[in-house]
Amino acid sequence: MAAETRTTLRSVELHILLSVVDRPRHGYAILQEAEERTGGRPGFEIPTLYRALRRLHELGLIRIASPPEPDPDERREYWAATKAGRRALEEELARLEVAVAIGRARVSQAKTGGDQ
Amino acid sequence: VKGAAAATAVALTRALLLLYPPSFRRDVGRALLGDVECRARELGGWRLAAFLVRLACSHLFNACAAWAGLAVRPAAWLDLKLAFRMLVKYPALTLVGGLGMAVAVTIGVGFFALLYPRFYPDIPLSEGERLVALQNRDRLTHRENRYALYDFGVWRAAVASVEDLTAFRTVSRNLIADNGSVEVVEAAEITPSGFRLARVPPHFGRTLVEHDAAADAPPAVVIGHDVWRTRFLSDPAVVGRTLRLGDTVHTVVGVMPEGFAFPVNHRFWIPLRADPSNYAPGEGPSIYISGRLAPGADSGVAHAELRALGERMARDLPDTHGMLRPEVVPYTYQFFGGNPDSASAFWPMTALVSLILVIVCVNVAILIYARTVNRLGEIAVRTALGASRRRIVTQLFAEALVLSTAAAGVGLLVVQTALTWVSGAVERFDDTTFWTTYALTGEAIVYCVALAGLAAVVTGVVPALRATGRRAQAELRLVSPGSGLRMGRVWSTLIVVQVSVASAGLPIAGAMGGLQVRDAFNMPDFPVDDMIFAHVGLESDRLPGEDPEAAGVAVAQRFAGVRAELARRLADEPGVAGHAFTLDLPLQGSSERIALEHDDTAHAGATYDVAQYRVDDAFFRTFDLDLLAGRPLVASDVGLTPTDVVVVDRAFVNKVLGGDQALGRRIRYVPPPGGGSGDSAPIRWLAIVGVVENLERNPFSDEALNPRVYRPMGADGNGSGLAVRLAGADPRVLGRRLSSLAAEIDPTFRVSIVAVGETYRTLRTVLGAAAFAIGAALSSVILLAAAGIYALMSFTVARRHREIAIRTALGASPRHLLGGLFSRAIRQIALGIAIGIALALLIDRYEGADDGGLLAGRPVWLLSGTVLLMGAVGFFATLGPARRGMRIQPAEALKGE
Repeated sequence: MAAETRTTLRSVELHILLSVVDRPRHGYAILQEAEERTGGRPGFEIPTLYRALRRLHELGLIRIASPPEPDPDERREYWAATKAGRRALEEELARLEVAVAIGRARVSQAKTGGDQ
Repeated sequence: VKGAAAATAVALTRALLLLYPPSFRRDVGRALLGDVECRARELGGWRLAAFLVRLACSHLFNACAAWAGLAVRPAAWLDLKLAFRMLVKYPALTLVGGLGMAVAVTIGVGFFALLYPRFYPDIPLSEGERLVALQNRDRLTHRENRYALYDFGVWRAAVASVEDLTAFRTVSRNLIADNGSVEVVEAAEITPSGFRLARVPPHFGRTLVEHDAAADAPPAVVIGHDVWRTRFLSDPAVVGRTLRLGDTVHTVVGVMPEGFAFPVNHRFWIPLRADPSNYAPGEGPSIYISGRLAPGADSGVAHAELRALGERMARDLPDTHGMLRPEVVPYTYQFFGGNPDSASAFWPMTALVSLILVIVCVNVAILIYARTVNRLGEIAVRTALGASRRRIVTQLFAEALVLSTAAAGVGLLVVQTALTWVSGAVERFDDTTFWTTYALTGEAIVYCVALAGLAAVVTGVVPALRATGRRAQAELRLVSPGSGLRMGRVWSTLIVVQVSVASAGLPIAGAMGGLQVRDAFNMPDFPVDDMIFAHVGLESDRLPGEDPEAAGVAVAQRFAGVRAELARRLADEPGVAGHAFTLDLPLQGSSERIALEHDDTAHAGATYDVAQYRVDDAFFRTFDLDLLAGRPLVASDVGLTPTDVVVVDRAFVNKVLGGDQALGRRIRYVPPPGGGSGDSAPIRWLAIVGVVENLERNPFSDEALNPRVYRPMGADGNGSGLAVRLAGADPRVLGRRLSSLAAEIDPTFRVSIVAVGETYRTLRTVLGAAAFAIGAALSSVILLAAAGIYALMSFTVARRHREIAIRTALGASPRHLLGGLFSRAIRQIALGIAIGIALALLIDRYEGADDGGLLAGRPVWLLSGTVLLMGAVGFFATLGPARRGMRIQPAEALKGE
């Protein structure tokens, strides 16, 4: 229901789906990947990450998965994207592509206008 | 170091995880803890500190968000967000509706918060709800008869359903310290069973025991925790030390724990030594009797048992008990005159008060209905997209709920502030009880939530059901938005009623509020802060079998002696400019009704309410009241048999005599209807021998001042008031000195200081608050009336949008059109005002006619003001919709045709 009413993913949700779309990852690995992607500034903290994980799980966009290899820290939970999650990610990326294309065009237009 | 840092972060997270919903902790708590630990191990120095701060903030935010997500489903969350937006989008409706509801909720919750604990007290003692009071009620007067020492003896022996039967009375005593300083305290003279009844063990020593109550036992006293702390400096060896109360030296046998103030608000407990077997029925001191329901018994059983016993006593002792009916009531009821049925009146009263909110909400519903009509397009689109009627009604309900919740929040805040103020005032006057807490109880909050829900249903669901009804929707499909619905006869009638209520209430409430404000400025015209006021009296207990009359004369003679001695010593006291004895202190004069002899004014045969003060010959001198005519009271007027003369004040001359000559006129007291001894007593005419200046002044009008009559006081009582005029002395120091002087004359001679100045200030605040409350209620009524008119006009414009457009297109003048359209609404307003004015006149005529009418004798002024104000309200309320109507563009409006 809520997934239908929401048209865009939040930043933290996008980072989660980007991390778990190809293979299962635990929370801390998701955070570290997000930090790598954003130069160390993902814009969220661990509690926000876990609330988002729980929300995506409730919406059926991710599922709990078994670890690809045995993990010494048994507290860790691994997450993987579901079909719906992959679809939501694809839609979000397509939306972002459009936004990027429009943005690029406008910036170049602005530059041209500025040069004249 | 890193291990310690990680442990800190984990501990912090573990603690903050408790703020989350349990399901969140269960699902992801462990994994989250593990990640926090990993991250903390990676960081050090200021980065770690910054991480901990960010982590704590993030936890707080996410915990709140997790709860919010749990409490409301996503759709409901969306509804609430939309509702908030609607509040902002329609600020006028938010303000008017919210204010009206807030005023009504404040009245409702304030009423509930003050009265619920009175009828359903929460007694902070073990099984406090099983404590009951036993009392006799006179069948004729319906009053409690507390001269029940004999009955106490009988009940204690015979009643099985109530245990630990306890009798007590409150006595005032001079607490005399070793250094001679004196403080008047109130002690509970109580049967030792009282401590078993309370079930509270002592902090030190022991409580009173049966032996303490024996006539030959050494006097014992149990003291409260704060007395132990302040007077005995928390001495752990206090047991065995002595305390002098009046002329009796008591031995301290125990200290009660902090907060213990049973049976009412006591800090000293001494044994009640009056043995019931020594007293005849109806004799002995006035006492309160209480006990605890025995295991297995309830108040019904106890009541029946006591009633059966009472019937037997009425048969055996017809002279004293023939008209008495014993009853069992909840413990606290005995202190406010409650009877077994008192609580049954509470819920109907609550329902009546809640009705105020319903009336306000019906008004707000009119406004919301009118707004809903303007949103019919939106509703139609949502219906077409598949939204069910339930879904739309839920959304409109959510909007109303947000508004009513905000109003309830404001109401709670106002009530809480008022309760804090009341609590402070009660403590200042030391007038509290151990079970009273002036705070919002859980029950009051539940009631407030119920009010908010009720308001949301009336203001949200009712208009929503109407706007989404089958008929409305069918018409909506056929014609353009807004034209299908009509402001039916019910709504129109409601607006007429609303305007008439406002028009009737405005002059009456205006007059009442004005009087409150005016009276709030009644100020003492004597140097109240340079004076000390006190009640003085002797301890006096009649012995069993003593003749009441002879005992009365003896104590009056004793009192006259000690009073004369105190007067002599006061005259020699430095810092004292003068003093007077008076039976009635300022603000405490008794209200009496009088008639004039040879009343040849226009009001022949009329009676007048005056305040009576019984004073001695030094009164006018002490209060510095100028003599305007005649003579003051003199020593020969005052005495065992006071002379039949009175002195009146300027307000009396102006208000009662209409400014005529006062000297030589005679007045008499008129007994209250159906009561008093006036029937058999001969009518005594009292001659006016002097006129003095008013005791109070009012900067606005002398009309606010009560007429006063000063009579010479007699010397037949055992107590009076005392007013001392200071000459530079500190009132607090001299107050203590006064108590010491009295105790030196006789240890049982008490001086209780009365804070008259403080009472004046409190009175002013109370009157000011009352005027403010009337003003707030009135403003909300006017606002609602204005909003109702506005809604009616908006509705008219919205409904006839097409018609206006077509007629404008055909060349009709917009002004002419609007005149025609609004004529019905204007007629409704005029009708409402006319009914309201007639109602006000009617109420003024039949209610309060004795006191110059509810309109305070200025009907023309007030009523014309009302017509003007309501006319202006109507004008401004129609202005907006009228302008909207005139701006309708035919091309735009008929585009879809």
